[in-house]
Amino acid sequence: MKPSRRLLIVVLVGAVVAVLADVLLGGDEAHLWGEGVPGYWAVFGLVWTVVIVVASKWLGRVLLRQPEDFYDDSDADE
Amino acid sequence: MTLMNSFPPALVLLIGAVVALALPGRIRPWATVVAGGVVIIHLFWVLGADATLEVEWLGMTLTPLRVDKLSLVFGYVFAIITLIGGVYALHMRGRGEQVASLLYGGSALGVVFAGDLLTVVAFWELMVVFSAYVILVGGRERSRGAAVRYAFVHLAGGSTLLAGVIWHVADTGSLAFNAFDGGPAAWLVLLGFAVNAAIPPLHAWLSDAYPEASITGAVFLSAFTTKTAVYVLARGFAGWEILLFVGIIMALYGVVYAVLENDVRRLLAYHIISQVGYMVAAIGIGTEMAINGAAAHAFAHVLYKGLLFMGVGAVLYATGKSKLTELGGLGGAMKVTLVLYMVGAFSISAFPLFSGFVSKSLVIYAAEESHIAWAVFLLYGASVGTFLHTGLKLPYFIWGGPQSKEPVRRLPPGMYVAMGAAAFLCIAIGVYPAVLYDALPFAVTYEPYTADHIVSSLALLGFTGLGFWLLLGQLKGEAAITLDTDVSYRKARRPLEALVLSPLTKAFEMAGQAANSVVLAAEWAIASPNGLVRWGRRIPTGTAIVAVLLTAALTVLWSLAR
Repeated sequence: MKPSRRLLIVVLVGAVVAVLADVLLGGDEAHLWGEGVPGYWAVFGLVWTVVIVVASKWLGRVLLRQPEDFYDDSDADE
Repeated sequence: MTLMNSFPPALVLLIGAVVALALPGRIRPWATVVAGGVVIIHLFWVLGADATLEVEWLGMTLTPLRVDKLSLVFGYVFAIITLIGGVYALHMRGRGEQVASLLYGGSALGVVFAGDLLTVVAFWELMVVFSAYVILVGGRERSRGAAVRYAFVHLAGGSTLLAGVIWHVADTGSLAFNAFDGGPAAWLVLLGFAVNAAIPPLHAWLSDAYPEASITGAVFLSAFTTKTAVYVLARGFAGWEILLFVGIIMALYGVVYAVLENDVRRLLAYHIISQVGYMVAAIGIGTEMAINGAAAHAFAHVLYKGLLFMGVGAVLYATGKSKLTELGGLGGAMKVTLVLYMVGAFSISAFPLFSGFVSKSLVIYAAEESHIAWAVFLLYGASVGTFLHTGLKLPYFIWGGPQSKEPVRRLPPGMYVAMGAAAFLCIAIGVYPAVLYDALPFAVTYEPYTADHIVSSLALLGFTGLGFWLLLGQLKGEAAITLDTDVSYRKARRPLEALVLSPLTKAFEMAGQAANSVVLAAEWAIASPNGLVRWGRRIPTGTAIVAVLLTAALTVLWSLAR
């Protein structure tokens, strides 16, 4: 499935607005290391997305993925 | 009026179930709706805010009703979802599932308002039976197997709980259900509760069984079992630090599995584990703010998760499909469902103006307030995953893409009404958080709508969206399944056969053969023409008498010699 151009525009506009708002309106109350840095939460969101997808896919590849009929011979009622 | 003031809410639904059993099929579905409505009225306007009910039974004092703010907030949302789920299921004709759902909801209310441990155990076990039945009649290919495994895991959990309770009562002499101090009995109780809270590695029943329930059954299942567990943990184990750690593991665990999952309802099931992780972690923190957070998030969760399950249930109803690899392009045909689903998705993702924004932030704020920075960091991280899967991946691959040409079955009106009501409540709580905050066990001093909180949330979610767009190719569903800890008992048959069953069978076989030869020998001795008996008859009587006397004499001699 090809990512649609319209989605990209929506996402990009949203992201730019979010960063601008964060820089202009963000408070200085910080609980995490580096939280006060402008754009902190934008970077946080992007990095976590990449980490979650890459790490999970890796776990799936090395350990967790199995064909759909994996349990077919063992479930008691089948 | 005192009788009504302290009438157990569980009984309202249990009576409703009996009535439903007797009603003819055409009007039976209304029993759940009426019972749900009555129990809402009962909880909000009739039941005393601090009512208790004590009963003497076999020399023990039981407390089947103990009302306070903590039990009430769970009771409210259980009553609301019973009504909404009942409306969603108005098109269902099966007697069994309707009745079982009411009994299941009634038992959940029974646990929540139980003031003593024996009542908790009794309703706990009833919940197992009725929820397993709801799965059993799910009508899907694998429903039966999933229900059997579900019952097996939960009966083991229930037995652990019962053992802990008996031990606890023997130790303390008290049946009262309050905070536990520690000791082995409390740990057994905690273990029993942990099964229902779906704490890994005891969680696999959830993602195994919920996707095999019917579309209406899944709405009730997603509400009751895990949230009663959250309630009993909050009641008995607030401030137990281990819950903070396992809660955060849960929050991340569900996210990892959701990346890999192809079945839409199993994906949502994994996000139940993730969301319950927030509540369990909050209970582990254990401050007033944290318990408020756990209760608020449980309340919001029942509504938005119910809405999400109703949304994908509607897709399953209309198309007969529940796999991302088979779905797609429904944006034109199921637009209303998409909009309603997205309300649930924005709520679980904690978008401003939606319910999760005011409930999840209570949990995270409790961690900030207690200066547990690593927990704050990881909980924010998990919420990235929540939006990524529930808010982006799932809707994109169900409704997005080239328009599907396949005909779509029309949804019954009840489904729209139910989804609309849940969506309304999700937005109402998000826009006007005081309705929820006022119902929480402790006074709330937290304000979710600060400029800082709004813009940081939008930045976080916006860039999650950007990441999604960048990694879209990676996130497509794959026709495969994902192993979880249930592999340990679902694949146990072969090793069990090799190590235990076949040696046992062999031993029995050999014993059987040995017994057989003894019998054959005896038979030969008695019946065969050349057998012992016949042979014995041929011996002359005199010889026999001599032999007997000789034996007797030898015996006497031998005994004298000793």
